Amino acid sequence: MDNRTFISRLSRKTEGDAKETQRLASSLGNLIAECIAEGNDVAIPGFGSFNSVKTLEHVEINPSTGKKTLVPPSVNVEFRMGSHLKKSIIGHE
Amino acid sequence: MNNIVPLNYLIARFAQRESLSEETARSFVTDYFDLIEKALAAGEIVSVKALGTFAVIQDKLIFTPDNIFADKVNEPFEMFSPVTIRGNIDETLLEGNTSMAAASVDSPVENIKDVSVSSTAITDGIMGASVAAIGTATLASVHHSKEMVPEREDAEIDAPTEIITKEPLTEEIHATEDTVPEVVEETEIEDITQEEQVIAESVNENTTEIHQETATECSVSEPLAEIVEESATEISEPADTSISENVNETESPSVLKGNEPQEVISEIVTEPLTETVSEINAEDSNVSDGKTETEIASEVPMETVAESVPPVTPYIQQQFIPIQTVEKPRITKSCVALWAILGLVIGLIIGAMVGYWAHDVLSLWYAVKGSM
Repeated sequence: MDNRTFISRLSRKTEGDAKETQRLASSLGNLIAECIAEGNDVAIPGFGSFNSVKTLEHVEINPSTGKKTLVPPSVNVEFRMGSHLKKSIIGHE
Repeated sequence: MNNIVPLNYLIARFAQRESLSEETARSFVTDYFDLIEKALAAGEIVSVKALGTFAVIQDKLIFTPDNIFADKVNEPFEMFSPVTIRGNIDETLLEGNTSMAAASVDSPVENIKDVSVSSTAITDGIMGASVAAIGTATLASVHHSKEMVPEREDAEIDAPTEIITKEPLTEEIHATEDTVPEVVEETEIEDITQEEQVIAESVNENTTEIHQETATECSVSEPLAEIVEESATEISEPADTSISENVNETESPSVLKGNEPQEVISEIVTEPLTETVSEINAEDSNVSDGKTETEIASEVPMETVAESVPPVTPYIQQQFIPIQTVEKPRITKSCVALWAILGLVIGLIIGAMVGYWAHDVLSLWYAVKGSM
């Protein structure tokens, strides 16, 4: 299901405009990202949780060239399934 | 451990941002995640803009963040970029900075300035290597200065603490940071003599001594009194080599190319020293032998001072390979004129030879034709 299908289905479900639904969906995604950027985890009961995984700045060495590169710190996002989602996925399969 | 943002807080924040009622926001968020869940349960791959792609592969849900989402998450670190480390900088040198960054990453938004400071320090250390040199030199000289504190403190104890501030230290570090790239650009690092190294050593020693002095003045009160007593006895001896070192080293000519760095270094070195030495001269007039510091300094020979200073590892020379510039040959007007004359002469000679040969051939041809 691509984004357009998702938005059309969501707009039908919420009985709203597709454009407005897209705006709200983007806003919700940005809000979750902001919460994670602040160093928090976002938990959606039954669905799962978005966890922030921090990677500190470190030196990487290219094995072929031997060049050292200082990689800046970064935050990656990890998703853990909730129990309800896990049951529904496993039950489907 | 990260704080967990509950759904109610997320909904409240979402409603506040979009100026929706809390019920509307709750229903939207619930529908949003319900729809994703149903699609995943149906075995579909769901991709949502500004969030990411959810895919179920072998009972495992794989979430790939969208680019917008990933950029938003890494917004506090967007000013950083990977930096290629030149030269052979030890990783141990970077550990201190990485530990600073590790402390700041725990709350990236709040301590973003700290992160930037640490990373800029690293990049400066990488690009200039002067900070690294200063860092290693100061670390080494801190240990070294612990031993030489009794010798030095006879001068510093009498000097008031007002002069000893951190400002000269920061100025020196900034100044060395500024000067080193210019030195590197001139590609004449090989020409740096030991006198420069002595000056750099003296700058580093001064910084560490200032550190040491502030540390001793802040932390210990009793040893100061002891050192005052010791210093009163030691002033008569020519043990004030550190003062004489500094005085002589400031007078020693620096071979750095360019006027500005030289001026900066001379200013840096002379400012604190002149103040301290002048005050020492003013306040140490009641020396037991009646000798002032300048007299003691003048008695110490220059050679002993030069020998006493340990050779500095040419860290800059290790880090930066001098770029060999190839000088292009200069083409002047006289050179062009000379080449033109030479070409003309050669052309005339060749023309004469060809003409002579043609004349012979033609005469032979006519002779043969006439005989026939």
